[in-house]
Amino acid sequence: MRPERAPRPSLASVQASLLARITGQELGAPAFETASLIRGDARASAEERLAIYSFMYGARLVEALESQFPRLARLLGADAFADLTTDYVADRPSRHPSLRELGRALPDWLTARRGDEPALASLAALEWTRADVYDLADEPAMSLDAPRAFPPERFGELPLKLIAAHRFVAVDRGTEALWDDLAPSSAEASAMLPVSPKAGPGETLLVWRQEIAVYHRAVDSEERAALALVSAGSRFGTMCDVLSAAHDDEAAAARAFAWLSTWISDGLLAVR
Amino acid sequence: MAGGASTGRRSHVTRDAMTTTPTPTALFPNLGRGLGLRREHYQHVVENRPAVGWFEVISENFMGAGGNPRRVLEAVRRDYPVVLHGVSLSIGSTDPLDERYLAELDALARTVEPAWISDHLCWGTAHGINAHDLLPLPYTEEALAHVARRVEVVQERLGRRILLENPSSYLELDRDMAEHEFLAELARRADCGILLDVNNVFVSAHNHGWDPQAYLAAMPAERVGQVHLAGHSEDGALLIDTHDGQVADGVWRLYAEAVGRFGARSTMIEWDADVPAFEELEAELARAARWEKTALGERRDAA
Repeated sequence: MRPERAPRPSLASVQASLLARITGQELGAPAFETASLIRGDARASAEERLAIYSFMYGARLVEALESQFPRLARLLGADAFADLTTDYVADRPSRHPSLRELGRALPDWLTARRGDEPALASLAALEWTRADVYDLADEPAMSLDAPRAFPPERFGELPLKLIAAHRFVAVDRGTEALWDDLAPSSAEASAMLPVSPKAGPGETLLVWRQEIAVYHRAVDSEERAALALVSAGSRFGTMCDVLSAAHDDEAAAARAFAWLSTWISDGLLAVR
Repeated sequence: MAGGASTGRRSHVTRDAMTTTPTPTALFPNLGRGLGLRREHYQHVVENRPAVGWFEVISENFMGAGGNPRRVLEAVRRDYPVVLHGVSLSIGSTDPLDERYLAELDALARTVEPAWISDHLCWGTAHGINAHDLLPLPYTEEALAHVARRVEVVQERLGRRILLENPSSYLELDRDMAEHEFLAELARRADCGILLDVNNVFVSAHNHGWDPQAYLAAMPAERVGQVHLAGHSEDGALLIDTHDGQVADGVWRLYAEAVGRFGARSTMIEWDADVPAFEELEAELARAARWEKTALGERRDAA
């Protein structure tokens, strides 16, 4: 099998050495000769056998990222996306058991590495947030019956709570339109879009899941602040009070009731 | 979840109970023929409740707290026995076991009440980096002792026996024993089950010049709880476990040999790439039924 005089490397050092070769990561592993680590034969050499794993490693991770960032992949094209994500994985190798987490750092990585094309990071941030919300916890959503049944004279005490399956994401203006343009059903995205998409000043998108469908829309600073209150477990009257600081009472109440109606219709409020 | 089948009940196996020699029908009941539950067939399965004995789900795909995956799994579990099949346990790694992963797996199992939980005889991490692959171990005494200890820890953590699947591989590392010797001894030493992937035996035997019959002969029959069948592809002189087509003729013949040795076991088709219409998977299951029937007939004749 192997010469008696050669000390056998430990399991840990064999694994570190092999993983370093497969992933290209510097793991401080002992530098074994490939032929001393892997048994080659007439069917395939040790190097050829190792190359199968290296190839599959790269292909598997690029494929996983493509499933998490399909519109970014469409925007860049297959080759550029593969190059970009290969660089990303080299910089940020997976440290989580699930491939689901692989793309979490891609938006920040794009900001750092492709800062001259901020739309890329914004698009990635929106796609990641949508993917993240996809399987967050379910909970019963408030229906219109809840406010209808609440005593009108105590309506300010109506408790509000945002569902867990929501996130806010800061993106450059134009990201929503870019996301729409890159829908799988749209024609030849790469032919329609500028090579280096530029983005405008920032805005906040609310991303949430209603039943099994994920949605997003822009929220202005006033609604964002109101949603923050609701997220913390506020009451309807508190929201009206905050709005009254910037609007007269009638306008504040009208705005609060409009939001309440929209949020319930969108499935954003949980039963408390 | 309700789950009508008695096989879905959570096993409360204690360490003392696990020291007794297992009887295969008691520990790993034959669920018949099943399929891997894949996204492409979620709607068909939930709406049409096809006549499939059971479903295997990839544990990691259902570890999220909610959303469509959980809804589908709950709906499927109401009508079928389910087994959990993981790809991230990394039982052979020298990195510490990932407690977050074990906690999520345990929580999923408490919800799903699977007939059993399986993963692979492999490793995938080193120094915290995850290759997301099922890498072959060096089949050494050191590795055997290491993996056996970890299997015991995992079984203790999950409160049940697990099954480990023989991997397909394209390289061999320095070793003291053959893979089948390692797996058989591991199953005895750690008191775990074996998920015998017949396609993986076929692929690895081809790639390394092993004797597939010797592989089957080494398996402790009482510990073989489940069988995988799948398609593979040729890549030069090697075979690659691609799960993208029909089961090859040679794999069917090896499956018949396995049935002849072990009797009928819960058997399923894995088809993960270029996933076909559900009817084609049902046709593959029908082929499996014919091969099993023939093999069982020959087994009775021989007896």
